[in-house]
Amino acid sequence: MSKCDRCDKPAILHETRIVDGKTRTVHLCEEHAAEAGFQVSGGSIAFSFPLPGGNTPGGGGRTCSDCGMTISDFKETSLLGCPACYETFESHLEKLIARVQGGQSQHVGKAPRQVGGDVDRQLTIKRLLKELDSAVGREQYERAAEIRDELRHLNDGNDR
Amino acid sequence: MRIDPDRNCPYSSGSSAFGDVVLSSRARLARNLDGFPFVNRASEADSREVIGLVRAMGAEGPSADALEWIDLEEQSAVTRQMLTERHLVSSMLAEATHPAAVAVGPELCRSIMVNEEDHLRIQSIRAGLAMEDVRTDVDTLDDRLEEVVAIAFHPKWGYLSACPTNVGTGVRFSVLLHLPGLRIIQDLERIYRACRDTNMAIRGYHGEGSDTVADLYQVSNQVTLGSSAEDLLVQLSENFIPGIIEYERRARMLVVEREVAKLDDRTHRALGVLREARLLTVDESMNLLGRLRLGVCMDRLPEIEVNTINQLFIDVQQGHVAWRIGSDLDDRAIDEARAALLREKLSA
Repeated sequence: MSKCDRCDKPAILHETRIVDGKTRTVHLCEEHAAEAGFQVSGGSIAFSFPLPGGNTPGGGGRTCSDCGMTISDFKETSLLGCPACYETFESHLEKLIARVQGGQSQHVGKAPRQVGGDVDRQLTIKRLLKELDSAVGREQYERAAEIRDELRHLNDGNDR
Repeated sequence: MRIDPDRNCPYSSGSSAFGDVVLSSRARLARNLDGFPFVNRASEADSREVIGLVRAMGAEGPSADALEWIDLEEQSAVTRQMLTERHLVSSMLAEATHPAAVAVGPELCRSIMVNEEDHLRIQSIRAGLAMEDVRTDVDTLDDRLEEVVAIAFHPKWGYLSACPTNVGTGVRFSVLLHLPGLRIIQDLERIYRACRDTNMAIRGYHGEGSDTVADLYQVSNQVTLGSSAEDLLVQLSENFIPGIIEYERRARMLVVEREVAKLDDRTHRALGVLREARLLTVDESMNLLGRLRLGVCMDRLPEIEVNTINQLFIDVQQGHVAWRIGSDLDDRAIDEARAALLREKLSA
């Protein structure tokens, strides 16, 4: 675990900033993260982030065409304006979501019926199709037959 | 709209398996309607349209699942406060200046808040450790909502919410715990550390940023992305909460073994004040009830039922007392009425 840049305590916040084309990573402990303006509660970052685009050239000017939200509006409130904001500010949100979500970046589980039900199943099907291709390519026909059975089973589940 | 405050106390869990430590279990889902700006960017017309669309759901459900729709703008401050105290609406929604509504289930454990931070916050609260029940409650409501409205969803980030901390499943499971033993033996830090290490959040009775009252703590999942709701539930209710319950029980046993006279003194002093005081604030009552509850759970006061105390945690709240005596929320008579209620309920 890396140490805080300002003292010897373990760092709980790690932030990489790009300033004048150079990257610089900051590591801060709970106390110094709070001092630097991050909302820290019970040892975790509550939710307040200096956004990469907020003060670097090229990142701050984008505006959501659906709701008019800008990245500085988001920086101020920590709230997005509409579903389309997730596309508009995707590059900013990518890092930020991974940070608050323990490094996770892919939804797993339930999805609304209108978008096809279970995301897990779709991801599994995608993965199995890839594995099937590779098994056939390597002439592992026994494995390919197993994968085909698994796919058939998943598709049967879909038809129910 | 009528709430009968004596019905369905969300904490009356004394007889359940973990009722000595767990007061209640909650689940909430954050959902937004596709094609509408989120609440913070919505116009008044948008907010009203969202309420109208979601209300269509109540009209179609079977009667056992009937929801009562409450227009918060039309409710008195006392009713709004009572709904907050029963965790059916958040303080944020109760104080909203834009159009806001809530649908409440007949048993007062399920609710759908409309136009909170997200268009929809689907909630369920049940007494004791009942995580699977609350998950099923919110999941069923979610399915019903899907039939009447299109929900904002992203294949990578899941259910979209106004705040990116809630993306993915949008689910927050939480458990309300009574941890006086760990506080007395000064071992709460162990729980804080365990929460930090496992991405769980621990908060005071009134939620984020609130102080601890009566040794009551809420523990919930912090991460909502990358695991299904079912897996998040297992992480909290099977892998994490049983450990805390075990620690708290051991701490209580230590208190009995090492400091039983001190425990009895604390319990009886609390009971003495609760039975004799003529003016009591919410916080003082809650803290005394918390002390009393430990003594009752450790069989030091057989004449008092733990469920009586669980129910009082709700009944002594400002809105509930104001409702009983028909006063405003800031009425000076409330502290007197609260003391009278406690005397009556805890009389020898």
